Amino acid sequence: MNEVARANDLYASNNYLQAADSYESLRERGFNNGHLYYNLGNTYIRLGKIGPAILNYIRAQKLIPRDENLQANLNYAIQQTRDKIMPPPPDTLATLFFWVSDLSVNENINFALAINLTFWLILTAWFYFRTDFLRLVRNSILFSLLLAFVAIGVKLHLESSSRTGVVLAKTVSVKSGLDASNITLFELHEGALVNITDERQGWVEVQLDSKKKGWIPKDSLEV
Amino acid sequence: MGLSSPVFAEDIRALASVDRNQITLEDNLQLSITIQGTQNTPPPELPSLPDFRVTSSGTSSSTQIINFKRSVSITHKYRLTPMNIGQFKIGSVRIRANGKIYTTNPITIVVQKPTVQNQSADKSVFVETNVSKKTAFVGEQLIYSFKLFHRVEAKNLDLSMPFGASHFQKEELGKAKTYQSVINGIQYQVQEISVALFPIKPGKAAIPAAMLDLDIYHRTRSNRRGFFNDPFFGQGIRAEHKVLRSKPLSVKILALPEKNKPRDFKNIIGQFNIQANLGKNDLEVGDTTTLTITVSGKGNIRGVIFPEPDLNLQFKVYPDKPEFKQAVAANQITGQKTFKFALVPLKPGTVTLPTLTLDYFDPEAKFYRQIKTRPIILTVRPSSTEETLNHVQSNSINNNLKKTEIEILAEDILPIHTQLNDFQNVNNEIGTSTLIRFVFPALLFVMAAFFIRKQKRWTTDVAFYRNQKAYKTASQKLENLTRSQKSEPKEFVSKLSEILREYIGDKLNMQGKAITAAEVEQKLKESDYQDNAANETRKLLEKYEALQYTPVSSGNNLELLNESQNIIKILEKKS
Repeated sequence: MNEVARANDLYASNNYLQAADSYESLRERGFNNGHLYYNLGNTYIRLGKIGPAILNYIRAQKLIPRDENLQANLNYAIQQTRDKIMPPPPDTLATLFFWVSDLSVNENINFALAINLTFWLILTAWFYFRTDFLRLVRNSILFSLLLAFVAIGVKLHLESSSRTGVVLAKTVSVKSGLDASNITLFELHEGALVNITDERQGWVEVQLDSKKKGWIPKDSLEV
Repeated sequence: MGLSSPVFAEDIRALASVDRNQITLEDNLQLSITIQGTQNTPPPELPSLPDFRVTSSGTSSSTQIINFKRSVSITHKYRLTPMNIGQFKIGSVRIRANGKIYTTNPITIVVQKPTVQNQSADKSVFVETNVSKKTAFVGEQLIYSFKLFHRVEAKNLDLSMPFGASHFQKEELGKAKTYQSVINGIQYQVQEISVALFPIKPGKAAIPAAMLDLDIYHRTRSNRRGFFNDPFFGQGIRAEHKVLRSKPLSVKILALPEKNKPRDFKNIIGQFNIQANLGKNDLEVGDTTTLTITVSGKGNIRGVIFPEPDLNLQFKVYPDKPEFKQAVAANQITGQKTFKFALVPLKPGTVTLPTLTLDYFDPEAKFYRQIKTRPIILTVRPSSTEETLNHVQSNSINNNLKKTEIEILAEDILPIHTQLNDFQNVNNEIGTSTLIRFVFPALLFVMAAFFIRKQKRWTTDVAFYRNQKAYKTASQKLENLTRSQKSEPKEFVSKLSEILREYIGDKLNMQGKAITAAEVEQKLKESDYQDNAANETRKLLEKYEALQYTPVSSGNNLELLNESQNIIKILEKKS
């Protein structure tokens, strides 16, 4: 906690390089926190490193998805990039379970836990008060509980299936195959958000839309 | 008949003649200008006749051969309608012929008032005008109507109905109406025409007399039957040209009172209603809805105007051309004016459209009234198609927005997060602790359920209750018995036997005291107790029975007690 405070102070006193080091060292030691990623993103913006900034904002988004400042800064950062690629819109599954995207994994779990506890309490109460109202409540809660369980599954699926990568290299040529000698299909620039669809032999397949798809060296981006 | 003196000029002569010298205001005068000796002349030049209305009624030419001498002439006929009473002179008429000017002598005419006749008198035709109010406010609607009453055929009507254009504005109220009316027992055909007059300035306003030119056809019945002895031929028809005048009217026009006069009063006078409707009350930013304001009532509704409603830049307003519908009911102009504004919301939120007011003067009540629309609440949702909104918006909207929005000078990121409490390490993995937290309430529930069920059984299941309490009761009784060692051996054995039987009775939910040792063994076996235990129990009970009838020393009491306790423990193990 002290280290976070120290890094925040460094940021406040415009020592962005040292602030970034502090945040990064916390992150490398396994400290996982949305606000840390957000602050780190801000620090990279100040350092003019749009790619790492967007990367950390994207990481933060998974933990603090409803943070308005984060959304504003991410949009700002994307506007600073050359490609100005916005995060992909939600797919059908994410649209169907619309609330899932607004909750982090842990929030989804805690939500399910709360419903779970309520359900068992209601069931206990059912022993004493067998009323129609309580039956309705019990059934509704049971339905919500099942939905919450499915939502956790959906969230985990979305987290694992949609791998969003951020281009960190200044410019990267998107090739038609797994080799630099292949044709360059198009170019991406630092901060571009791509959807990673495959990974082979040090190359990753990235996709922007149905037409823009190709291979780039794995080390030119980060997930 | 008066004849002016002819003017001789070689063969050409000009004559002016009138059909009569004395007429009334209801009559016409026929002026004939006859030029003899030629037929090829331009029309005569009439002198100025301000007291008459002059209309040409044609020309006629004639050629006569008398004693082989041919004479030609042409007659120009004019109808002179007197406008005033008095003595008037028809000046010389000039005629140009063959390069010369010929003049006629003047003629003097006397115009008299028509002979006063009561309407009830045998009058075949008369006119009447009236105005709906003798006193009116500026802008108030008045009805000015003209009626022709006739009981003979009237044709070629030519109405001049001046209304005093300097005092009034006129609005037509449609075509003439024809109906029948009985006045003093005489049936008249009535033709009525009305106009709406709106006074434009205060003061005494005169409405001049209306004048109607017409030809009336009197049917004259001859005493002698005609040639064909047919009533048709027996009737003569006499045509008469008439000029009928109404009496001039006057109206006192009052200025609108200054007291309580609204500041921006727009001279709307009458009685009105106002209504506002909105096409839809729930829409998205960029959608269009129509605000319709309808003003209806009687009065000068045409003059009602509504400026664009001021909606504080929450909407872009596109006014439509107002629609005006007029109807005449009971000689009153009633109408409806509809104003339409297309509204395009610019911001989301719940908006109450301001009320719109109309100030008008109610001439009946003689004071100013204000009517207003009810406030309309509408919900504007954020646009679901924000991208396309820009295409829909007109340039003027953008310009307006630019004018009012704060100019953005620069953009920057928002500050870092400094609430240290929020910097907790987040473990995203679903670990054992998570699973435990899910299972824990279920376990608690199972325990609670078990407890609850047991508790319920205690209260409802006697057998269960006795079974559960058997051991405890027996132990307690044995303990009590141990304490009271001083009792006799026989009594002691009897007590032991009773305790054991009661225990078995509790366990098997039956009356324990009354059963025999053999029954006990059988019941125990039936209740799945081991044969061995059942046997032991029977033996012990038999032993107690035997001891009750044989003398025993008190030294055996402890041994017997232990035996009892052991057998109870053995039996208890089964449960």
